[in-house]
Amino acid sequence: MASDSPSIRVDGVTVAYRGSAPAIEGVTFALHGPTICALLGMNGSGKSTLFKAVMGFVRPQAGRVAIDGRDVAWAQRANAIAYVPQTEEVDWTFPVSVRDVVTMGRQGRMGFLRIPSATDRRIVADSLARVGMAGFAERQIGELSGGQKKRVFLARALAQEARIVLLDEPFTGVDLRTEAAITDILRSLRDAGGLILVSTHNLASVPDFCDEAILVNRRLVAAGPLATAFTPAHLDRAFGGTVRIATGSAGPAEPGAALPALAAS
Amino acid sequence: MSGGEFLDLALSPFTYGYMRNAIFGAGVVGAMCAVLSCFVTLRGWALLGDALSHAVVPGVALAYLAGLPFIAGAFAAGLLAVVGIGVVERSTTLKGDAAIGVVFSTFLAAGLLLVSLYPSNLRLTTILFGNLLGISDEDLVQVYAAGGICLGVLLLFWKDLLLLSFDPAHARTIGLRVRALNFLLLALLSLAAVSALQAVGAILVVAMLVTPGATAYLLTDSFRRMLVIAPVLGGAATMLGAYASFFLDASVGGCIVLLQTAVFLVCWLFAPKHGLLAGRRREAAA
Repeated sequence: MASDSPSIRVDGVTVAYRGSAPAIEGVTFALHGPTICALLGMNGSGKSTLFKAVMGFVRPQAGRVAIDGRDVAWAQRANAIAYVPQTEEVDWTFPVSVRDVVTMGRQGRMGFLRIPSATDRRIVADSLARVGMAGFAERQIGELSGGQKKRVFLARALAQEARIVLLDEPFTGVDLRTEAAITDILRSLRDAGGLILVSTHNLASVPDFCDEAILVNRRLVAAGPLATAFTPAHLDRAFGGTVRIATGSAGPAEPGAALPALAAS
Repeated sequence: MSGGEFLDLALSPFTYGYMRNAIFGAGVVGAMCAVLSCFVTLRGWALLGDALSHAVVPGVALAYLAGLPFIAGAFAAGLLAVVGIGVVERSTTLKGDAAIGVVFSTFLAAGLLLVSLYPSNLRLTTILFGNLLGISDEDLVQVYAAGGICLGVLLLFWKDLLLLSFDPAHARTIGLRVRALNFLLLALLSLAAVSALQAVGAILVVAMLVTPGATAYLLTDSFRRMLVIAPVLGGAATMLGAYASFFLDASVGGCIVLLQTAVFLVCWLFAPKHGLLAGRRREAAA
């Protein structure tokens, strides 16, 4: 493993919010780029909390998180992680254009007055072109379709040029064409050495584009290559028996045939 | 009435020093509050703006008793209230508006208590309803200074404040100092609330901190343009309100705020894209 490859190390992490039982407890895993890893679990299984811990938004009561071998504060300063939020988390009535949003991906790297350089502008234009949104740059973000909205925030992550990209439910409410476009871009990011962590409900598409999987149900159920982690037994434990799996084999679940493309929540 | 007589009448407020002070002072306060109102409306901070404008009252009272510039006392009280709200919010599972409600009413009550316990030249009506016509040259200098600081700081930091308002998660992942930026915006809000106190009074400050931003929001989809439209509208409405109050011999604060509301209503009806009528036309065309 090249020492300069991007990495996430989560070591015995427990996070509890005030007045509640721990959202995640004793979770441990390690990821190294290049990889695309699926983060799977039911609603309330701690997926979002895990994301927040990795991005340094919550301080674990126990354990530690390391990004590229350093702490989360360093990762924030270094723009090491790009985050693509759920569509529901964004205020689409906000008076900003598509180009404004993608330019925000560069903002952490701009000077004190936050004036985009020629390079920043070029990277923004390239990122928009890469997600097929170049023709929509001046649109207010609320005027976009569901798939276009996802593409804009993916473009912002591209513009940020982070080696680690976290995506929260990137496939909900998008058409097949957009889903294919997003997975294509994720593959190319991986092939360039990136570390991609995707939380998703769409289990059927996991074998299609992921290399690894992490399954959580408050505690870690399994983590590792699909062949060992993405198994019917683990899925059953992660989803509490809500996923009915036809095959009884212990091998990796077959896409489509073995797993219905259901929202397992 | 001949044209010359009309002009004389129209310009007559400007022949009084106190009216000149009132009109220009109001313009600066109106523009300063309006720029901030862009952030207030987009972040849903209207209640917080209201809270701040009430929370500065005990600071004004104490500063007056201690013989300090009232702006200093008010600013300190505003920041203390913000810290108090933050502490209550973080250390309980209460919703934010409950924390705001508890803290700001406490501050206002403390202010009322102070003013009634230690009678002085400071009138309760001045604090609650403003006294723009009684604004002194000294006060005016304070207001201009506050306006200058506010605009200067915003020129430097508006892009980070915008990003933080739009997407706090992204702001944190790219290493913006989120706490410092939030504190900065709250400090500017306190400063604006204090400055507006004398113009329209604690009760109506919130209108200055919300209405111009809401109006500008209806007129454009670009935050950059909002930052220009809001202070132009806010400043003009505030000056016109002060001017109109001279002829109506009516409450200055009332005139200013109603004028701002009138502008808002016109935009709400007729704004090219987000107006009520434009929406109807779109529906009819569809």
